[in-house]
Amino acid sequence: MATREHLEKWVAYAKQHGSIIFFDAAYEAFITDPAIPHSIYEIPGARDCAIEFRSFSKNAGFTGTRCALTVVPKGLKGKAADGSEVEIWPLWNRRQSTKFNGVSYIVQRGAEAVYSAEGQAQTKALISFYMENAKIIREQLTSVGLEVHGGINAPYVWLKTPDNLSSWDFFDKLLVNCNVVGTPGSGFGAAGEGYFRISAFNSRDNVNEAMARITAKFKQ
Amino acid sequence: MARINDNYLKLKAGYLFPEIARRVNAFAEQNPGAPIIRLGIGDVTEPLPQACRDAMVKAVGDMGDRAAFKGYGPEQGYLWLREAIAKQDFQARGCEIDASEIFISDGSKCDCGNILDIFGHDNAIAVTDPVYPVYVDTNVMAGNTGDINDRASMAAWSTCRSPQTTASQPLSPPPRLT
Repeated sequence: MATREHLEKWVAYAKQHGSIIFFDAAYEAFITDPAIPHSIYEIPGARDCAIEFRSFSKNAGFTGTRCALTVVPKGLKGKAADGSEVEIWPLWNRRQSTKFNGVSYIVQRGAEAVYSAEGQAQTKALISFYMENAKIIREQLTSVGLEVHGGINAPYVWLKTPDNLSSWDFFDKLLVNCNVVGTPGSGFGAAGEGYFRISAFNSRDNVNEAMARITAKFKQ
Repeated sequence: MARINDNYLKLKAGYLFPEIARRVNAFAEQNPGAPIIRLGIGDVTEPLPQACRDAMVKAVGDMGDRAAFKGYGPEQGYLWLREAIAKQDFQARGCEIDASEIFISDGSKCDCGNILDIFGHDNAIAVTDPVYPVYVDTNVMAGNTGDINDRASMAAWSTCRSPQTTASQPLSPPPRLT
């Protein structure tokens, strides 16, 4: 989870090197710590060096309904082959106008409702529900001595695989012994090897049942 | 014979989530009735908020009314949605973002890949590690990397390691191809 200080370093770096940051804020709604920015644009200067991606998938349950957004600030620039500076916004506008015909009217009305008073209350309740799941997962895994990260300000809990198992070996063991499916950390890159990700996105019953099976195995 | 995009042949054996599905399906076939609980892909399980469902039902009604019917919409998204987003997601947090700078799409995954359309192929690219595999695979598909198995040809591919306990930090400038 990137703090304000981390993001300030990234923005300073991007401005120094003429880089553009692609900031994926799909999970911003799960942030509860007021010190953690929800948007890269909370950092001064980010308008000149960042594009932000957001989604309605996780805050409002739109994974099957499909709606997201991308922010391309006007004035953000890149370099052309002839060395001239070119604005990015018109390029993305042209790209979308040529290759994309927009999201359905019905879905956009559904997304708009997220911003109504009822929509805000209902999405907050959804997020709290998943974050309570994350808390249960953290507590249960910790109770059997596993090293656990995340699950705070984010709906995923990462555990260090026990006995130095590889991520995929742990995946197979968990599937066979507990019938629980997670995600091997190594699938996210070499630095994820030896870690395993458990998602808080499920019903309370399923989360409780999965944790009961896992903790029972570790108590044996 | 028609030429294919050879960059697709550089992709690692399987995208992470299809590989998980393959292993789970194989297990389920051998163990029919096993009570499998999925805490993997990160798909939501709880129903859509009532406010969203009501709004969509009403919108379906609009489509049945000649006066309210909508054909092709703006490619960037309807202004009423872009304005709500700009105001409540950004301006309310002190971010100077205008509705005209917001582009509505059908998913962040699509946008993360599509954005590469408007950038050159000779940029130095840094990704955090571990990371959402889509960021890496879309760059491979676009021809922005060398052979993914050949470290020497990955000069343009800089990785910022980030242990789960701390957020990623910018490193020294990534190497340039030229």
